[in-house]
Amino acid sequence: MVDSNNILGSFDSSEEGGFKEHDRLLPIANVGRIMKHILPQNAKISKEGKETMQECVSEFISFVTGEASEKCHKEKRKTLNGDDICWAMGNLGFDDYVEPLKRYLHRYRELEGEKANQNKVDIGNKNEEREKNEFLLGRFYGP
Amino acid sequence: MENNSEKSAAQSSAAYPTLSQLNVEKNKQEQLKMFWTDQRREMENVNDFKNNLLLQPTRIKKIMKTDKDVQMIAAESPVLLAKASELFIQELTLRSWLNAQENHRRILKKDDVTDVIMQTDNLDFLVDDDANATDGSTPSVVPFYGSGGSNGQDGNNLDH
Repeated sequence: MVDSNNILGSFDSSEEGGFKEHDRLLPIANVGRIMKHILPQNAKISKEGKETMQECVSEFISFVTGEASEKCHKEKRKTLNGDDICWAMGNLGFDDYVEPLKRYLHRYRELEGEKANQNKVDIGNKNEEREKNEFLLGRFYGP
Repeated sequence: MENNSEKSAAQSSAAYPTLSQLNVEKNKQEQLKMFWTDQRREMENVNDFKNNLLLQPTRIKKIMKTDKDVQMIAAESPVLLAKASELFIQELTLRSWLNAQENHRRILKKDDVTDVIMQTDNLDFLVDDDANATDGSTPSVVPFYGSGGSNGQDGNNLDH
C-alpha cells in the first residue's frame, strides 16, 4: 500500500555512518530554555538538573519510538507516522498527552497539506503543459 | 530510657497525611491540571511548524534512528515528537519544581527530578534496575538504589 503524501522527505534507513555520542542528547541550551519557560522567574535550575532532564528526554523519545515502531511492525507497515506516536503515548501511560498531540498533528496535516497541494498544483500545471507538448509532437513523429 | 514518645508519635502520624500535606497535594494537582488546560488551548493556535520549534526535528529524528527496527519515518513524526518532548520536559520540570518547593528551595536540583521519577508510575522507564553504570553511560537515568532524596543531603548518603 502506498503511503500518503505526508512523506515529504525520503527518510530511509541508510543513515550516514559515525553516530556521535552527543547526538544522543538534545542540546542542553534548548532543554534549559524549555525548563525555564514553565518556572517562575526567580527559579534556578542546577546544571545537574538540566543534564538529568536531557537524559530523560532522550530516553522518552526512544521509549515512545520503540513502542510506535513495534506497532508498525505488527501491522506490517514500514513508515512510522504521527498516529502511531499518538497511539504509543496513550499505550505507555501518557494519557494527558494524547489529546493535545492529536490536535497538534491535525493542525500540522492541515497546514502542511495545504502547502503540498499548492506545490502539486504548480507542478501539475507545468507537467500538464509538458505532456501536452509531447503528445502533440508524438502524433507527428510517433514510433 | 529515652522518652521517644514524641518521635514515635511523629513517625506514626507519617502514615496519615496532615491537613497541610493534603493542601500541598491538592495545589500540585491543580497546577498540573492548569498546565494541561493551557497546553490544549495552545495547540489550537499553532500556525507555524518550522520557526517556532524549541527542539529541532532533525535531532529528534537522529535519536529515533538509533532504534534499528525503525525503517521509514514520516515527516510529521519528528515534528510531533519534538512537541511531545517539549510537553514532557515541561511537565517533569513542573513536578520537580513542586518537589523543590516542598523542600523550601528555589533551586531545582537533580534530586527533585529523580524524586518525581520514583514517585510517578509512567516514568518507570527512567529507572534502571540494573545499576551497573561503571562506565558512566547509564542506559536509564535513575539507578535502582535510588537517589538520596531532596532534603539537602548528599545523593549518595543512604544513612537517613
